[in-house]
Amino acid sequence: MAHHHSARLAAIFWGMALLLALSVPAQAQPSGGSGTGNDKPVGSGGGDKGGYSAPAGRGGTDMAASGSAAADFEVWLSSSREGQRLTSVRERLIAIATPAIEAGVPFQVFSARIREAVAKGVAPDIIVQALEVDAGRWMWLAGVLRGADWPPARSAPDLYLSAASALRNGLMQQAVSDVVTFARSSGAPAEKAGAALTTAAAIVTVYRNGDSLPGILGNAAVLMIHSRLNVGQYAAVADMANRARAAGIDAGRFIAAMEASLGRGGTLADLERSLFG
Amino acid sequence: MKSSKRARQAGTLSPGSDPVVDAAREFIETRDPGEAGVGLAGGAKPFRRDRRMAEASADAIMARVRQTSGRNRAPGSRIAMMAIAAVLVAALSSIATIGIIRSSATVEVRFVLSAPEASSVMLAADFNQWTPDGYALKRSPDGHWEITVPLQKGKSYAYNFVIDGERWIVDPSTASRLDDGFGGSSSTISL
Repeated sequence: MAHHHSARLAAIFWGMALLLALSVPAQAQPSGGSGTGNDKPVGSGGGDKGGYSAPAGRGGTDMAASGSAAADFEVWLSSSREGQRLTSVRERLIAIATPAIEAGVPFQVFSARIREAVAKGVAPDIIVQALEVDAGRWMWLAGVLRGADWPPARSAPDLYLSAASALRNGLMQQAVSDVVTFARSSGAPAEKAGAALTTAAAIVTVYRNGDSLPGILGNAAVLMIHSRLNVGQYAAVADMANRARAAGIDAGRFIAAMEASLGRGGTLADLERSLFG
Repeated sequence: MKSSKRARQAGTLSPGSDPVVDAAREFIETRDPGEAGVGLAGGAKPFRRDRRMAEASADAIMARVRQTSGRNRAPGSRIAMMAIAAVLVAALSSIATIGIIRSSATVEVRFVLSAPEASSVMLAADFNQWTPDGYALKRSPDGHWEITVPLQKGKSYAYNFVIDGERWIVDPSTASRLDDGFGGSSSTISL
């Protein structure tokens, strides 16, 4: 019996050892997964978001890669349904995109914005104007990221889109630069930086018509990325800003509450207490 | 068969040539007293056993060997079987673990819009390339429209509801909405 017991124990031991051996690499898998946004057949990871191979932030240093990316954009513009609806402004779009792509901007940000605009039925001229402004913001960001191996190519388009959206909605360049620099130096996921920028932009939007200073609200992005909150909690901060504004709490006091709570490693509950008692 | 072959290969042993040979001869004489000297060289008769007896003896020995080794092998087999079972359990557990981890990387997000007057509501977002096809919300009897979409955690998304195929609106249930740069707005969600 003792022999059988030891045999069972040995089997259990080896089984558990194998379980651990198999589990550890599984847990080490990045949560980012494949980069797809969802598991539906029409996912975000498909199409041109996943196809960018040249690292972002090396703008201008790899001319062959950027030249190829510019050519890829032209091919996309010629072959896609969206591009075919913009034949009247095709040359203008290429003229806007080419220098940006050569500066290190992933071409997928152009196709993503064009898809959105065409889906929304935006007039071609408006699309050109909007992309011209966006391209300037993207080129600025490419300059901030120049020489860095961050963000990973897979995440770069989302970061560029988030940054441009944040700037469009009133976030200061300094705040965007601070968030990106912090995320890059700390190795934070680019998606987190993008979400922090998006949330801060939403907070700015909440207070847009108030008497607040945009510079103060820019701190929101930095506080978000420094905080212990996970990305899933960011939206709650924007909702709290909305409640705070409705309760008469101005932007300065809101940011002070963020600093006193999230800025010191606090939680959403701490922020809520700081704001509403 | 091997046993009988061995018996035939015993051959002849020369007396006095080697202490080992002498010991073997003594052993054979002791074992087969009726055949003393059998198998010895130097005038003696060659070593020759009855073939049937040898085969019967060999079979009996092999049967015992099999019986004995069978008994000895049984615990080993059990260990092997248990080890295989443990490996299978471990492998299945690991597959389950991977599944859980994978599913924890995504989250099911339910988008809900109250639009009792609408004939159709679609969801257009950056995660579906702004193509609402395949993202039709289902209407509940109380006039709410909803759809559940698995989305990757750790990032933010922009989206709009499209009412009756032409009217793009933001999600009225969230404060996170941004100017889209095209004269409209999109809602955002962080997961």
